[in-house]
Amino acid sequence: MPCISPPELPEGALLRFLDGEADERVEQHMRTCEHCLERARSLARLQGRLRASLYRFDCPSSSDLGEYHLGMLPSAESKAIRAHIQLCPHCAQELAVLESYLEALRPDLEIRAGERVRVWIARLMSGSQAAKGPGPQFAPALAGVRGAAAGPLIYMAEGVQIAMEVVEDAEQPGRGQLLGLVTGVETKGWTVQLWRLDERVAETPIDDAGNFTIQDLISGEYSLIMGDSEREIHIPELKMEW
Amino acid sequence: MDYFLNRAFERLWSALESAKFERFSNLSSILRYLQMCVHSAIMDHLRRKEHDHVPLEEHDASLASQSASIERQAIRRVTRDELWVLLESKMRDEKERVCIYASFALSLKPRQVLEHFDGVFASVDEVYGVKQNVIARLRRDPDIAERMLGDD
Repeated sequence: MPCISPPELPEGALLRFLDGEADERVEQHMRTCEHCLERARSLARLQGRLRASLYRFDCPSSSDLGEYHLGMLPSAESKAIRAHIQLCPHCAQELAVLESYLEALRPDLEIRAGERVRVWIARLMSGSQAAKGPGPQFAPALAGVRGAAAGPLIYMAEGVQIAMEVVEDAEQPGRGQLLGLVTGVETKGWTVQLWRLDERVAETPIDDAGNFTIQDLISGEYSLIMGDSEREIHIPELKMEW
Repeated sequence: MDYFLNRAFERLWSALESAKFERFSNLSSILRYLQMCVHSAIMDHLRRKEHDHVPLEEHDASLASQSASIERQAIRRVTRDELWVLLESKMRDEKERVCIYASFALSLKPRQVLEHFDGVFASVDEVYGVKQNVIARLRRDPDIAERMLGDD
């Protein structure tokens, strides 16, 4: 089938048509000429095959791009990738996305002050064991803090002794007070927190003598954390009853 | 999600073996590498999808399946690098080489070629002119015709 309006369109016009850049004259011709349309299809097939075969054939892998960004590649490989990125907008774009992504996640890699804290779990000691000296370390705490009638309970952790007692608050019937004494460590700057159901319900400083008091407590199950920016002592699962 | 996580950890594991482990100076560097591995796994997935959708052109859907079959045969016959070496050997100058590389390896349209390769071409018309000449010559080349098959 010949061209309906010879001479047939040049291949340059067909290339522009395939790219959507043809002028109205060419568009009009292509709407009616099966001959030139078939030539365009042939050209499109050839271009399609070339793209399918060659698309990003010499692009570095995404892993190599990542290692390039992290400065982990040998100099020769790094130099080659750097040269490629100058030419390839796809790799340049991927690298830009990677840089932005890693920068956004950078704070997650910073070790915050709180994460350097040494944490100990205090062990419940009987009064007689406390008198003999420190017991085993890093053991889970056991029973809760009993009321005043049962006497204070002694916890130990890494040479630190914690004696605690719960009494009913005389000014608030039905409410309790937790009285504590910490010895065996310099408590300047220390605080003690009480937690209940994943919520911090009270916090108070420990004085230089190691004393602390927490008031207005309801009976129930708590956990206790005391310490400073460098170390923490945890007493989990405290049952406070009076 | 699991797919990307598994791919990310596979890459990290590969990097942590033997001599490669010496590249990591501390925990932060390992974690950073893992973050990069996650990104890499996603990018590879997107690259594969991108490659699958490199168009044959949409002007003749009836021939699309036939063309795809021919493409698969072409790819099996010649590795991508070998094909580029062959094509590059047919280019007469740097402009032709850049035009073909940009058009098919980077899948850029002539207007994008002009912008991206600043200073190589004077105008979009020149890019189209170079591309037209190269394609016409490639279609007449028996080496290219043999390797690409069905070249009409």
